[in-house]
Amino acid sequence: MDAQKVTTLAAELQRRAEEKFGRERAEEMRNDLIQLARELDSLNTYTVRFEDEP
Amino acid sequence: MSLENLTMTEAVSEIRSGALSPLEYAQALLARVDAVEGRVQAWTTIDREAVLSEARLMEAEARKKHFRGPLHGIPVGIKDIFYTKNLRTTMGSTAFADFVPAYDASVVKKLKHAGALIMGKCVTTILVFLDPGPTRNAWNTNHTPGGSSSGSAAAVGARMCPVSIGSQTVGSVGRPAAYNGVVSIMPTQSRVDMTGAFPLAWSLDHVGVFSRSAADVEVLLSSLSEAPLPSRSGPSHHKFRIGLASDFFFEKADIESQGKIEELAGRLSGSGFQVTVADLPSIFGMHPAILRTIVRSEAASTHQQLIRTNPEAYGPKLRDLVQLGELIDASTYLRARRIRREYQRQMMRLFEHVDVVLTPAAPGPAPAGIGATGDPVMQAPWTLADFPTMTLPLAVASNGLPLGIQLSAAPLHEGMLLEAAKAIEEVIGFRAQPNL
Repeated sequence: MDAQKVTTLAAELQRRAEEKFGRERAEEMRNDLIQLARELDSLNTYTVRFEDEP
Repeated sequence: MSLENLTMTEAVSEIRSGALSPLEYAQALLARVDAVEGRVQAWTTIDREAVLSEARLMEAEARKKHFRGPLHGIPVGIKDIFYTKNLRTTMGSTAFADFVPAYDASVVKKLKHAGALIMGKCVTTILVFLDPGPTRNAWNTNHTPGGSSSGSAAAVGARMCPVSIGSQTVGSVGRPAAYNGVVSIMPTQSRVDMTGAFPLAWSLDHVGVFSRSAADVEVLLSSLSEAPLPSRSGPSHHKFRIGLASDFFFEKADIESQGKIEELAGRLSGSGFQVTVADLPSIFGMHPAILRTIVRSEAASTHQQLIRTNPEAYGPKLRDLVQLGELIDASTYLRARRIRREYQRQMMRLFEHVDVVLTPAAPGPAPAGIGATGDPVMQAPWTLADFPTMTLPLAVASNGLPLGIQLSAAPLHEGMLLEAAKAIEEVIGFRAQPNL
């Protein structure tokens, strides 16, 4: 896992959360957003094949 | 034997022979509800007059040897997310407190067609997620019954009905079954139609069944199934190949559960089963990220209107889930769905050398308190794979609460899974009952 990528993704999620739910709520969500960033990064770095259509 | 202790197949047999009337059976179970419901709180709605009136009709039919189907006169509890015509369906939420559907969910239609008596609606957690309802564990009311099918599992565990219907998106059938000492199955998603059920995450939502024996599950599932259950051909049950998935699942289980499973594995080997170690594929570690991304995204879509119009109807855990889901973009969601396909493919290889995979059904007995519903960690990998999974009660832990095992098979292999479960159930010989 690339720590820098996760930090960047978490910051982006924090920005989106502030925009959607306000600064206070986004702050409450901070730990969950970091965890979400880790999970999304693990998905983003997994190689999928073209035939893996949902 | 008192009527509330009859398994469903025993009750079916008594009704068919004329030894038990559907009315007498319904009255006995309603009396059991009167005796224990104040402590267990498994039901949201029971329309007694409707139940007794329908039971009278079924009794008259049974006297004439007219049976509507294989479940004639069997009272069934229905999780309160499945629509029931003219019977309140609340989804465990104030937002639907007075909602009365105009039609039956597909499973309810099938149950009625098979002759079942709809006994009432069983408590679900709030909108089918982790925020608990009032239900308590059937074995010790100071402990959680699990969730989200809390009432369905506790009602069967507490002998208020012989069978019930639940649903599972992550671990909402297998976990409450283990905590309440009952048998359950989560079939392959396409096996049983979910139409008319309130969703959480539609690509992962499964119908589930609770009972007190594997034979009951078989009869009930046959009545609900979209296609006949294939039976296992080949060698006798003593040759079932059982894969013990120990590493991840044992790490998550307490010492007592590990010991009981190891002891069972020895007894199964001694009874002629082939017990080997099942190695999990390399992609296994991805399952939490795949599952959570799908559940969050789909739940956000399910709830995007309701959470804005009825924010007070949401528990904190569901609100967190939905709001996190709103931050996930479409391409990431679809990527998770694509990786899920690869996960299913790799997990299928488990069944190249074994018929069923055996794991603990929960990390331990039901946790104390009713503020949370326990950990679905044992079910999540199988729900994501969409592999049919059963729970069987195994033993009573040192704190007096039940422990369970979980059996999983390849997709649509419910017939074989049930045969294996019946054979393993015989070896386990679980006879304990809650003392409410």
